[in-house]
Amino acid sequence: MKINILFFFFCIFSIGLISFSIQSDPELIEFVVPKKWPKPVYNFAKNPVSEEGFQLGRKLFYDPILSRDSTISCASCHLQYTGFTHVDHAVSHGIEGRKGTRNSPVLINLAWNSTFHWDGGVNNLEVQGINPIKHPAEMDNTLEEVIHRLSISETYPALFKKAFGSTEINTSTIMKALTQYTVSLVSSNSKYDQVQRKEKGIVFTDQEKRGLILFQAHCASCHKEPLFTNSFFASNGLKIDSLLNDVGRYSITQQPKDSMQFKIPTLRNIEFTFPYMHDGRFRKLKDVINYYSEGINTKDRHLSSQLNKSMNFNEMQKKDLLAFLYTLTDKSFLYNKRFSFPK
Amino acid sequence: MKILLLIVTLLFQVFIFGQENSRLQLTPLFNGLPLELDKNYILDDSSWYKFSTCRFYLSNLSFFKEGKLKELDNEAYLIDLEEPTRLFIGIKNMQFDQISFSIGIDSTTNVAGILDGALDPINGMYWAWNSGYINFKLEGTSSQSTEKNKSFEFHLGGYLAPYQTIQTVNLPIQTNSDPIIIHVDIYAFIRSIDFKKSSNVMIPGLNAVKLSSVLPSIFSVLPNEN
Repeated sequence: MKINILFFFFCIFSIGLISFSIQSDPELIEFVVPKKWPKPVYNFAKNPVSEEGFQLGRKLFYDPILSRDSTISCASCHLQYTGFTHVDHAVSHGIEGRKGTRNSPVLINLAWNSTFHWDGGVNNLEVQGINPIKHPAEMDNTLEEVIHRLSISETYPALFKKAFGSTEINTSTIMKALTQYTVSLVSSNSKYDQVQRKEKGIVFTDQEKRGLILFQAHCASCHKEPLFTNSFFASNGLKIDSLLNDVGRYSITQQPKDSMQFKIPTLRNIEFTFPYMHDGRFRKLKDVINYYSEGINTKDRHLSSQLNKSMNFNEMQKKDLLAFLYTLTDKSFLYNKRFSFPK
Repeated sequence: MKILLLIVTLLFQVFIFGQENSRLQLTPLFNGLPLELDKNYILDDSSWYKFSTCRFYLSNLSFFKEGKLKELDNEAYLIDLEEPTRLFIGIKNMQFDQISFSIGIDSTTNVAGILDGALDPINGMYWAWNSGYINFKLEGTSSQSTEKNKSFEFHLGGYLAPYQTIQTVNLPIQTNSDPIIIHVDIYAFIRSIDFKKSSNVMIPGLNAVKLSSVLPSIFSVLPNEN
């Protein structure tokens, strides 16, 4: 009797051991830092990107299952072809057409971002995804419900097992998978980048060159190369929208000095990320340049010191600047099939 | 068969409990009376209080003997009056005469990204829009509240300078009882609130800092009775 039971346990143990050893490890993907770029901020050690984790995150990103009424996905407001923002929407709408208060930010080179949201309220890419899931004007769901739905689905438990070694789905594995996808959205192959890398036959036109010089003189201290942001917050003097009443960074830090400051966004792929500014008030890039050139109220008490002298560009300078900004378009990123809806 | 079961059970216990064989027990009180959720407490000045949530984090649990650090536990514990099992903390069997701990979560943990267990954002102790943990949460109703429905909500947290809210508590231990009972009398905290000014604190900032500074005084350990 005793021997039989011992044998039985031995068998169970062996089967467990064998199935454990044939469970293949996820295939890790090395995160490549483009040449001369700074070190990423994101800590990959805690969540190394694997092919399985990336594909799971991609599937989640495009799946409306995350929203309460299963109508919208992350991609509803973050469309790849427009730099992962919501084209033509000043502010985005969530389920049931509920409107938010800010322009949906681009998802580009997030590995180098130290904070997220226009007010920088989110301190780590891994916890960013909780916001749209729970926000009443976005997906209006709960983490419990998302975990429940994914756990009873036919496909997800097996995908989580492949990526994280267990069919058990929790907040941590959902957020890590989403992060593996979003952290991989690297845009580093625009004409600007190709010129920097001195690729054969790629040179700036004279107009683009003049634009670059203007850009470096007037814009680059905040929109710092090569990421085209310095990751800080600033006030560009835009008058507060009395309906939205958005005071920006102050709502996070409660410090008066941060009032009306918003995150300095990257300008990569800016040709396609319209409308512009934190509340999407400018429809055309031309409007943005006009605003910085002669539209700023230089007496605004919140205005960043870099902007307190009018730039007053002439028409040609404006066109030059625009031409340079178009060199930040990276079609190989915007049309990269690896980032698109998983078929 | 029975012997085998016994062995399996023993192995299981060793696996689960490790070297833990002593416990701390958190005992929430209100004005010296056991704190029960949804019970109406009436004070001498005829003000009344009813609590619906009392939940907080303890972390960086340290044990000292004659001023020397003997053991540091890096775990964060979520203490929740609603879940009696969450009122106990297993500790190693050792000699100590003082314990110290933080009320709340330190800044390193607050920026560490997604975390599991007690620190899973699903526990309702996490702000997503302003990433960070709520260190201490107390909700209920009171005659003192200026809200229409007499509700109050105190969600205290925030790790960014100058509004850090984490607190440290030092408690001398002059008892050898097991479990060691730590009283958490929220009376002093409630009395420190100016309800006329605010019956709600739900964001990091000066109010959260002021209220948090009272928290260490609500913890105490009684010496041995015998």
